[in-house]
Amino acid sequence: MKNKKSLMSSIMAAPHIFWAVLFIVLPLIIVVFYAFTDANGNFSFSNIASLGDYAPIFGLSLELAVIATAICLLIGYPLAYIISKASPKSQKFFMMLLMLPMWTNLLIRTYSIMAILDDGGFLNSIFGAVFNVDEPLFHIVGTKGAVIFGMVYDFLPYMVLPIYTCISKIDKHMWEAASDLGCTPIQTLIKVILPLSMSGIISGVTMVLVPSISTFYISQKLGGGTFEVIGDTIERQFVTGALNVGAAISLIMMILILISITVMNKFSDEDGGIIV
Amino acid sequence: MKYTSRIYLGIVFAILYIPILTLILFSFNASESTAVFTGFSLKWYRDLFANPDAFTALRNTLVLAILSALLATVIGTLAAEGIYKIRNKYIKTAITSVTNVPMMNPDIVTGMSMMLFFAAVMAIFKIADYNEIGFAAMLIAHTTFCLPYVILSVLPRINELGDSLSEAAQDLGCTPLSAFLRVKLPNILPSVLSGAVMAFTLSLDDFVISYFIAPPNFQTLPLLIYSMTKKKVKPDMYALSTIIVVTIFILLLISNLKSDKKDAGRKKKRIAAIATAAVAVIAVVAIIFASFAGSGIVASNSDTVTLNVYNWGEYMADGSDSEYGNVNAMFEEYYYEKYGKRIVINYSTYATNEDLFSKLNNSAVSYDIVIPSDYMIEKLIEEDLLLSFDVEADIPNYVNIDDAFKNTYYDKDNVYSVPYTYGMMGIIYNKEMVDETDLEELSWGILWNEKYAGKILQFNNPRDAFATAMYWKGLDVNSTDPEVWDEALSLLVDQKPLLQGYVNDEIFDKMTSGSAAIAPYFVGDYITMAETEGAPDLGFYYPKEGVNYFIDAMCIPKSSKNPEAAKEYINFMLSEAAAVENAMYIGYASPNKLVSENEDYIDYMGEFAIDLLYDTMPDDVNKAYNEVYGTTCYKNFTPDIQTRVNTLWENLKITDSTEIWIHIVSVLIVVSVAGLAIYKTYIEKKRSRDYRMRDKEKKNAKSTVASDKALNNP
Repeated sequence: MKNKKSLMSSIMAAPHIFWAVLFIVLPLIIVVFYAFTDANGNFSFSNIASLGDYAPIFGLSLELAVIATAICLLIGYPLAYIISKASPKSQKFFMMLLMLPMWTNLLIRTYSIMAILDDGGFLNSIFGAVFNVDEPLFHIVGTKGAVIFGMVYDFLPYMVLPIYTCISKIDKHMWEAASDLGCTPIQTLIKVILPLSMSGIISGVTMVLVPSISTFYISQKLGGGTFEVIGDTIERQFVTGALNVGAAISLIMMILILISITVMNKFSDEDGGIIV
Repeated sequence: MKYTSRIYLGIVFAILYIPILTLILFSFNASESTAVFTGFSLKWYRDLFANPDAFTALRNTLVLAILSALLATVIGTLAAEGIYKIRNKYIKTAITSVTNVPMMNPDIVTGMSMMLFFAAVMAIFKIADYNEIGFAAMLIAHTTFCLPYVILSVLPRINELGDSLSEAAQDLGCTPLSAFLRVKLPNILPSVLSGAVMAFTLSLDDFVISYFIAPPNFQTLPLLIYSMTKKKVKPDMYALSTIIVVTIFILLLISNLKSDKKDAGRKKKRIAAIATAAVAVIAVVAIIFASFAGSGIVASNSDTVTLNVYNWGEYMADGSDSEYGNVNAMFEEYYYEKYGKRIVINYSTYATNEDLFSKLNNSAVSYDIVIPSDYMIEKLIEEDLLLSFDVEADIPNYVNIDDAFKNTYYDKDNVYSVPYTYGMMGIIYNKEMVDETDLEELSWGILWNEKYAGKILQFNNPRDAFATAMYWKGLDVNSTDPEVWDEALSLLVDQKPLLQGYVNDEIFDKMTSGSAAIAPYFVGDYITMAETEGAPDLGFYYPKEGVNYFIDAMCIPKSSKNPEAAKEYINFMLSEAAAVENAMYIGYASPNKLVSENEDYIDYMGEFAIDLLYDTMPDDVNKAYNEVYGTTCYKNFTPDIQTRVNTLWENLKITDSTEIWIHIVSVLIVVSVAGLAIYKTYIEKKRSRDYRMRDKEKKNAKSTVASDKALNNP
């Protein structure tokens, strides 16, 4: 009886499984095929073998993404927490306010950030006028800091959203129970709320980390093009016709991400391992 | 506490919204600059409302985002419940891992693999016209990459909710389905909605995946905007973004005020009602929009002729700027008068030659007109992608083309291409920031002048960047000798510490705002920058060591479904009216004799611009130009050299790019996360050991008591 019930419910996943096999697995097989063949379609390991050259780019992309994700978490968690404690009406309002900037075009948004932070931008003009200097005081665009800022700016909602959903669903009696048992609000947060919102944190970290690793417009524009992240490299391989190398790089990247997320899930909590 | 959290919210939202306010500000700018505000004007809003492309693109974008978000939410929510119910751990892991593939792949890989996939689908099912399945392909691709986000949003909530509620419902007589719909769904609704919002947002902003999948008759807004990056993203796009943001913001305020009046009770029911209403409205709007989108596709099946034109962004007077006419509309009219048949032009745009190539080479999309540059034409001919035809005989207006642009190296017999624009690159400099003595040499060397460290820009593509170094040192820009390229690389490595950045279209903002002092770019674009209101005084010269000449020409791909109409189109573009309109709009030099002699055109451009654009042509035009051109244009790379240049470019980007703090901070983060995880497992182990110990003690105690009793009761 129990088995039959769960079988019935598992059928709900059927459309998705069908979809996934057709539109995820099949295209993925194409990527794998390209990764292991040369330009003439013959089997070859040369693409995989050439990947050593890209190690520094891989490393830098990972580092930037890790830092951006950490900052997103540090900013996003308190944000989600504060919003979840507001009145239901303001909760909805704040969450929409958080998503709204995402509905402008990424490129135009990035140009606007540049207009503010560039050497001749608003920030430097204002401070230049105040302190009466001609030379730009802050050189921001073209540094890695600017790229991290751009990533945090763009991906923050993806961190806040799942954490907020998680916190707002925690039984309100938990707070009372904790304080009845002698917890200060801070202790309640750390000992009760944080562990209970772990699955939201893991979702958020995944949703920020992964696009941060593979982004390329943000780094091109805000990084001043002086360094490359793996997204740039893959893009150039594809558009200059080196499909096979591009496919190999992305295959390795996928595997790396998969491993790191699996490891992360192992440590997260007892039941969270299934989120990703 | 309340106070600090308010300040915190205030700061975060201020940072989030300052760029948005900047964007809104520039949509009201009097000049074309998006870096310097020169005065208030509604010009860009007027332009926007006159721009048919922008509205078609907006409609397409919304249709796609709504439908794909809807589809992804339904499939994703069901899937999350299904995945939760699966008890076999391995199957579960397999499904979730596969689900997340589109999220983990860089967009470009998903886009590329989807494109190859649909090309295969068309081959298998013998579908001739990509326009027929193009919209479905876009919808499938968008739904696919939105799915993991929906599942990732819903699954944690289902996990937390557990089974007890729905089991209780089933014990009380619900079927599993109604237990899910009536008990579980209302409980997970907030996360379902946030998943839907996220899916909508992602689809709305997606560029890369759409880029590879988009059919000629379905250009989305991001595609339109990104294709402008060859030249410049105009403020009318800022105006459109402003309208979207402000509209949503107002709707948000209204809905907030309204819900204020209502009773606070029965919250759940209200949320459910709002959600149902929202879904209903969205569905209706989507159906209306979809029928609109469909009508465009259906129309192509009746008596009308369709022509798929694929051009650089901002590279044709397409009605997007109120100052100029719409040559595509002019052609549609002309065609109707001549043949009595309606012709519909599907006009879409790209940003680089390489983008065009990968689309023509790998996808099943067929275009009737493309406008690649010289070296790319050579490559397309090599790959057998262009249609060969007798240009002189088939295009009567070809006589208008200056002989200098005929029999070019890439098309010696004039059987593939008809020149559209040409131009050169040179050095743009800020007259206030650069000393005159440094300009006297008229050399590329100024890009290596240490005096201007931090104020110099360089191209952010290997072809042009290497060329600046190679022209400077007299190296052959088409060399097949790897060592020559190594030499050029060492020059670029030397230059790197002096650069403010490697840029493309950002150069417009950086030069017009005075952020940078010196940059190499194309002469036509210099004229635009110099004439931008509020820009500093900018100068330009052609370096004496030699410059790149490029020619962009109209070609017909082999895959064209309608080559005769395409020829008619090319012929029309060479007519005086259309050519003049285009030349004014683009601002590049025209190879059409009727243009360079047209008085309106000369008046409009001004003497200064005409001199710069045309006087560089040698007097003995025919021979000399071709000779000069032949030595300094780009030619198609051999695959070996292409790989070599890619590798060298990567080396350039890797060199000396370390900012030590990045390593330190990222290592610290990883170490502390790992530390926390280990500490946590340690604590848990210790705790469970403690529990076990306690249990044991209890047991021992019990057994002692029992044995005591046994002893006491003999």
